[in-house]
Amino acid sequence: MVFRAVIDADILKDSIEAISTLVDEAKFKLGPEGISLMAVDPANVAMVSFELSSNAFDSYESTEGEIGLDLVKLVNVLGMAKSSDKVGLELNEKTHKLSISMGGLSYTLSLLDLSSIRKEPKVPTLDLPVKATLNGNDLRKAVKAAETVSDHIILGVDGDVLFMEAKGDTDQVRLGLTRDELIDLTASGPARSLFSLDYLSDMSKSLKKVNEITIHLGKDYPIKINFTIANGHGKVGYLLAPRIES
Amino acid sequence: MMTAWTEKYRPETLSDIIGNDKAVTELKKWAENWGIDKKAAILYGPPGIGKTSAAYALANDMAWETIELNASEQRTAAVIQKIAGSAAQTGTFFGGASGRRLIILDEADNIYGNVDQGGVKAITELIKKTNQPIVLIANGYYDMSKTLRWACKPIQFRDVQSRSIIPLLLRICHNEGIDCDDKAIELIGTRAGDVRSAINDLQAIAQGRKKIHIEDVVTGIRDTKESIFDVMKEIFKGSDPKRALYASYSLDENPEDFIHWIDENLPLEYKGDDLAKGFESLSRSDVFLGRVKRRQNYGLWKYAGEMMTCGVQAAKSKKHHGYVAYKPPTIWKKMGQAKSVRVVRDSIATKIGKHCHVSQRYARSELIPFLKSILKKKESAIGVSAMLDLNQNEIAFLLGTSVDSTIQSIHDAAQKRITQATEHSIETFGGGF
Repeated sequence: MVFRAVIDADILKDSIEAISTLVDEAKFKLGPEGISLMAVDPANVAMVSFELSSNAFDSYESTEGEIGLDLVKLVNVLGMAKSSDKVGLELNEKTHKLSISMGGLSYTLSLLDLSSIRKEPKVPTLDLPVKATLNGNDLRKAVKAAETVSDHIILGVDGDVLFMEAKGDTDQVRLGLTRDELIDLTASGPARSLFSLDYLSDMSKSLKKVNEITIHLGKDYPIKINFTIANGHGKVGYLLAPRIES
Repeated sequence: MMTAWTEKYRPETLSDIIGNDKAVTELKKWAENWGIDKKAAILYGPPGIGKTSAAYALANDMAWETIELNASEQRTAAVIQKIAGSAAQTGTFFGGASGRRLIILDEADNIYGNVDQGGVKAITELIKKTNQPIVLIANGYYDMSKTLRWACKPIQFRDVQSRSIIPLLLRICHNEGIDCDDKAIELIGTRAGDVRSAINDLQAIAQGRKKIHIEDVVTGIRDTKESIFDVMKEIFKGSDPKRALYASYSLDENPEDFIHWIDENLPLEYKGDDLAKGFESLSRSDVFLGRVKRRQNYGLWKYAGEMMTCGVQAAKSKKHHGYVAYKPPTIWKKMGQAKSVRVVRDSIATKIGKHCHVSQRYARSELIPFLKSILKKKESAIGVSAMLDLNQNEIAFLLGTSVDSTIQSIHDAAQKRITQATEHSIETFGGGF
């Protein structure tokens, strides 16, 4: 198996962090077209799908294969890189290690045994009635505001308004975004679901720099959050199961 | 890689679980009624008889998703809250908020003693608040805390009889294309003692064979339990040090555990001078074990091992004949029972330490024995109790009895004295009017 690539430190960091908010270890699929991944968190309530096309790299060369990486370590290593750095990645199949080089530093990271990593999840095909496109920061803001009063948040659509609502024991926050304030909104049915803020907050960390995100919602159904990274050369998708209202 | 047959033939539905019909029916009923009552279930019973399999088969039958938190992960309070807590409050990817997920907590009796002692509390909390079904799996029901037991519905799994195991073994053989003697199968089924071990044994014996004869089984595996007794026999009855030592090497026990086996059984075999010499060797071995701990030098295990095998073997002056039924060590059980006693002892030592300005350790080993004889006279018992402000349990400990009316009266008298002394000092310092 061959894998040799050079990429902007920033792009790689954003990519890995988008995944590492949910899982500590992950199995990446490598191929000539790029790399991809599908993983589920230990509690089985949140999923992440990730694709990074070979075009996102300065140079890229890979055959088909899979590698397991400890994302916590990888994030730490990448933390050493300056944003203007180029990161070189090279797989040494014999020693079962990934060497990472940047700005004079060179690391060798041991790969994880693939069988020790949680299996890839089965991905449901969900037909969710609401599709909204909005600025990533708007969702982040709503999540942050909600966190001040509660540990869960209701997301839904009321007529032409996408609303986010959090109720605590005493206080309440509501953010309504009308069609004008959104980039796009299509609704073919009712939508209202409750979500854990722990997870949404982790997911929304990656949304800081994202201008446009698409969310899909249903009634007591999971939420899908999709956005692109790496100047359109990469895709991240989250899926979060709804909380049960008690 | 070869898959384990225990995984390959794990029952997919509850009706494939062998034996334990009553437990399976109860489990099914629990699952069907889950929601009206959100009580968790505890599946308990000996290892290898299908508790975990039943939980997974149930989830499969009910079309529930599963998540398992087993002992290999660090089950700290934080992890339980984060993972099981989230899972217990959340719906599923496929079913949304009404989708069910079975949370399986394996080895639930093994949570205490894990890194974080908040683990049990976190689980109790989890069980109280859950919106998803939870199954706890344990070997010993009473090894779990009372609060945990009360919060759950107990379902007992019993040993599976070998006549139920044998048909399963036959089916596996058939499936794997292995020709196996009926006698051989019977022996594997009866010897293993539980379903998992039986399947594992079968797989181990079938490795590289297409045909299994009875001889293959007889010379086969599964002898750790027997061999610990064999090794002891080698030590207590044998005279060849090499054989005793090598036999102990083949054991699946480390010297720290094995020494307790010898300690327990030595007095059953040796008498008189032999016994004294035997314990002399054993105590030397124990000194080495202590050094291993202190210096973290596991190389010293070698000497500990030689002292406890060859040393004990050489301690006897003549051959011992006759059958002795060896017993497993009782020390762990005793340690557990002695825990409350130790708590009392340590609290006395703390009180003495405070009074006499000595360390707790010194008070414990040097002063408590004296105190025990001082307390034999009732008058001095009252004085000492008042001086140290001992409670009834502590007085009872020093007198070596349980709390009774005598203890009660000593305690009362002592308390009276304390009150008097306090009043007196208040007067002395101008407290009286």
